[in-house]
Amino acid sequence: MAEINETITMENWQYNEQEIKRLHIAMNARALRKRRIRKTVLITLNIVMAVFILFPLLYTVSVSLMPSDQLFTMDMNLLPKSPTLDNYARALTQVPLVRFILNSFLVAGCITLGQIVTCSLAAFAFSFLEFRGKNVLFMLVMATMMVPGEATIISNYLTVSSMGLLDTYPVLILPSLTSAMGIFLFRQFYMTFPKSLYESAKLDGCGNLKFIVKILIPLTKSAIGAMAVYTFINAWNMYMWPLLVTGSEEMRTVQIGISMLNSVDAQSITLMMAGVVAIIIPSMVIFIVGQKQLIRGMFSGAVKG
Amino acid sequence: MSDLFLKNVCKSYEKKQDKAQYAVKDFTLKIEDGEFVIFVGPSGCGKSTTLRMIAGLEDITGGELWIDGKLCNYVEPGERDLSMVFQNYALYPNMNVYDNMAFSLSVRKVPKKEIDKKVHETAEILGLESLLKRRPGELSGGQKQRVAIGSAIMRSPKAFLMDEPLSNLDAKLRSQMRVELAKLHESLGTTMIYVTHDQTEAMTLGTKIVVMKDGIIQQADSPKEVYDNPANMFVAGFIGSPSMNFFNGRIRTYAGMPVFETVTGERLEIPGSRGKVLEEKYRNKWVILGIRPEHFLTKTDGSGSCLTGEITAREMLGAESIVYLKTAAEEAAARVPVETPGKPGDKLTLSADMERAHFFDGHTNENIFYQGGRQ
Repeated sequence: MAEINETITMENWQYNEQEIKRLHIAMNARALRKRRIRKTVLITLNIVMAVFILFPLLYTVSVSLMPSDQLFTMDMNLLPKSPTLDNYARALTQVPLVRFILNSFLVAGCITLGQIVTCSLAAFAFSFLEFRGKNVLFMLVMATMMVPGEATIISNYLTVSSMGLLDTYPVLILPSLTSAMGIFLFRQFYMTFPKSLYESAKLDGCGNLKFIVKILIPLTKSAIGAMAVYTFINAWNMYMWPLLVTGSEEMRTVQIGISMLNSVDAQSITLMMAGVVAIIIPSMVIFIVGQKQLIRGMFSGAVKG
Repeated sequence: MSDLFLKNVCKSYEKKQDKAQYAVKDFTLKIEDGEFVIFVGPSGCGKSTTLRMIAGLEDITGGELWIDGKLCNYVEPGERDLSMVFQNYALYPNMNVYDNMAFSLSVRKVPKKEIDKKVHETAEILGLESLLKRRPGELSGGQKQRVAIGSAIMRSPKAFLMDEPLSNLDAKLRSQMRVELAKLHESLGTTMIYVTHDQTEAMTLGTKIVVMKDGIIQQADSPKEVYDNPANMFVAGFIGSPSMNFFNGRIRTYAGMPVFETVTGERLEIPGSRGKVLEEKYRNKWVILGIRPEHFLTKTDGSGSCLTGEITAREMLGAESIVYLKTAAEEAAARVPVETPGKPGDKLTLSADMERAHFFDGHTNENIFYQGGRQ
């Protein structure tokens, strides 16, 4: 980097206008160059990391576009030689993939809605209302988070089968209608909510339900958004439970449907990848739409904003 | 428009009776229609708790709250017909100013037209018309405060409760809002109950000041009475800035005159009938003398009520100066004319205006000459 002559002549606190102009230009150019170099390095690093992290996903997309004979070779085959959409067409016709997607949408949507309603109401009680045994009850709710899902899956199965719900939508939706995690998330969010707003509403003659609908919900949109994205993706990715309680093809959710692609045809890795890519799209869309809310919701309350 | 009557109101956060520690104890106060009552006291004295009990935001542990002759201990806050202005304004951030002001009426299902009229009327009183469409986030502190007051006015409640409404504002805005609040009280004539720890607010706004300490009312009276005739040492020391000077000493007779003798032997003559009374009742007993800073005179006529001390600090306030003296007995502050000579380190002799001095019992700290019973 060329040295810049930073000396200017000064007389009686008056300096040469041209000299100062030259100095401004030179120093500005140097700062700009520095900034550009830093930016280029950062972006290159980021791109390398991104490619590294996204490699499995990118490879999935690539495989889904390959004819199946190209996959099973000894050569390094990262990119399809003759990309084809054939796999997608077959995946959609071989199993009722559209039906699976609709099923999953219905189930995940209902679960999301249900969790938002139940969790926000429970969290409201835990943070705004005063009642005996509030803390004990809250501990109890938190304690359920420590029980692994696998431990209860058999008894849950026996319960729903004795209710005659097997292989229906309700059986997919009902067990997930509330979650301790959601209650916790909402409660933490509500704890940061100024109490005087609640008190003010009370003095205005506003009941609890009206307060929730008119004030609390509009003000906690970001928490609701975060919760919705989180719950929807979780419900969309459910595997064990739907596998256990659904039998017929009409009730299958996507995750199970995809694995069916593999068993129907022995050589269908490419087919399955096409299915996977197809069903990733909805959850990606949900995430992209809701990611701002998700991050804001997850971190709000962590520090005072 | 209504009377409030609090009778032996207590508040304890401990459920068990025997362990109860009272945040507010035996609070008995009658608030007449249209009064501007100020609860004042140091932090933690129970003033906000009392206000919240009146509002219904806190349960009343013991005693009764009567509003307009109706027992209101168990009435829901929304049904007491009181409105409250909070320290942090408590405006709903998701609604604009109009909706904030309209909220309490729309909850009560008042017809839209009526609400609209009322909002515009109130906005005009408070100068908020141009802000009606804005959200609270886009308002300055003073404007938010005005909206909060506006929302409180909307309902024409029986009384306004205000919990340190001006403490979030800067000094200039605060004095401006103080004047506006006084004007508002005059024009509305509604009962106001106002909590503050700022004695200037208390003195300037109130028609009645309730001085509290440790959950107990120390004195409830007009601002002038509280200032001129404090019930005890706490009230005397709390109201007034700089606070009253206190001297420990005894009542003696010296040269046939009743005098107050400080622990270090300075004597101050007590003139008039009060001297006689003190001589009679308190001869040789411990008494605390209280003199307000403005009751020191720089003119020393050689009479027997002079105090001499070394100046430790001097504050120029513009129109006058505050001089801090270290006398033999105690530190004292005096409000003196600016011209008074003397800089830190110099000696200064001041005479105390003993006619206006206060005497407190050395044991109970009660004002010996306090007239007027406690409420």
